[in-house]
Amino acid sequence: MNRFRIRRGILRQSLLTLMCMLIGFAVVTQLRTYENIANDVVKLSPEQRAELMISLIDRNAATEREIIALRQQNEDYRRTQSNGTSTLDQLANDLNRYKLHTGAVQVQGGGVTITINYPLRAADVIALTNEVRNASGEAIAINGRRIVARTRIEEDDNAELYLDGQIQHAPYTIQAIGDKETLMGALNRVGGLLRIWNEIDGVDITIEPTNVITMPRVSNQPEFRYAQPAPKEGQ
Amino acid sequence: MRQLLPQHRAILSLFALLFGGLFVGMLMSVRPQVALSSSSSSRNSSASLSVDRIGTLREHQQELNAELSRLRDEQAELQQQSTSSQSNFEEIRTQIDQQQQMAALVAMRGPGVVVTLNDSNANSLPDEVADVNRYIIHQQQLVTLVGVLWSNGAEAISINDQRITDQTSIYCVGSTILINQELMAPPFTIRAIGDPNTLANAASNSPLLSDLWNRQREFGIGVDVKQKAQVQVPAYTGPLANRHLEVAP
Repeated sequence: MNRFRIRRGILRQSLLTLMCMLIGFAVVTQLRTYENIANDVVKLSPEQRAELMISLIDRNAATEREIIALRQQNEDYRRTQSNGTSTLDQLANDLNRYKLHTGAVQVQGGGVTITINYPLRAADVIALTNEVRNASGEAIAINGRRIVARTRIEEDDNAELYLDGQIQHAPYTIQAIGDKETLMGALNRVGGLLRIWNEIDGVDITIEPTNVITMPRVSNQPEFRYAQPAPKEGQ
Repeated sequence: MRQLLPQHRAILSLFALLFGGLFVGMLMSVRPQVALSSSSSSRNSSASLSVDRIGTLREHQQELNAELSRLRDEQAELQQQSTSSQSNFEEIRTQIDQQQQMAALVAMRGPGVVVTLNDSNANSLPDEVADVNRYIIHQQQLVTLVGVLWSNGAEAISINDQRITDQTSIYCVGSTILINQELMAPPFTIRAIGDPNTLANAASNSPLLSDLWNRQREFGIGVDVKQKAQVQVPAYTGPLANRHLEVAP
């Protein structure tokens, strides 16, 4: 009986030690990540630090704008709930806001049109979409096809390019909706992907501001087969 | 001397265990690093000023993200209340749920893979002229890996604590990497939900990733691919950019 109690004590202590070790490991790893980031920042040139600061300031301003909009929307929900009027319009607005990003709806806006007359590989197109997103593109289409996060960008053994299974040929027209000046400046920047392709690889590229770009909805939006919502913390 | 009460003794031993654990954790998490650059010693006062400013901006970013998440949760709750009272709202309720998930605004879980990328574990560069760039993880490798995972049916992807959305950019400023404009440092843990076999096979064998695997063999870059019965990715906590984007009539 006594021995059993002692054994249980040892088991409990071992578990506690193990738990503490794990906590220690997690805490230190976290601290090291912060430290690594701080060290990386220290190593940057003044120009790079300025670039980083501008990027963070822009980001925080965008977050603040969305916070203000969400507060207003939530206030509107509460008001319509309390006075019993319909909230269908609000729900439809929210739904459309999500659809802008999932590609489930046709979208439009000002932006830029890039033309590239060169056979691009899948890795090039993946890098290019990242470059346009870096340049603060809000939506992208290639050859009239909306590109969202899950768009399949692939090539076959003959290096032919496919977007969601549809073969694509040069010249490619890449459209990006966003702030025209920001997009023009960022996509034309020295050392940027398009400048490198143009100046070093001799790729024929044009970039032009465009007043109204319309992009179709995605041809199919595959449902989730594996992913399901994770239970909220504390549930 | 006063005798220690049993509960005090328990607290003391807990602290001893915690510090012991911390120490062991510290030892375990120390790994050899490539000797990258000695330029950090050239830090001057104006540099530390901008480093501090970046630190403040990052803290503010965390606070804003937390507030944004809170408001999104609150909105989801209000949408729920608005639709639960009326049966004819069921259809729009289903669509809202579905599109929120597709827009990466909901934490998801399911089977998939975890890929870990890390800078080289080489203790030092083989010679003076060796190119440091070959020993560290770059924007390009992360971008291509994410692209390959999407092309192979990934349904949701995150890198460290950042969910990948249709607007996510992975961007290098000097040796730092920004994902969703959040600063990151290696190791990079990429979690993807989808068919574990297909995703692991793509991460290990896609010709698009041959450069990554070559660097692993030649320069000791850390690449690890594991299939998982359950992977969880967080919700996106940053702003959705749609200042210029609207539904076409």
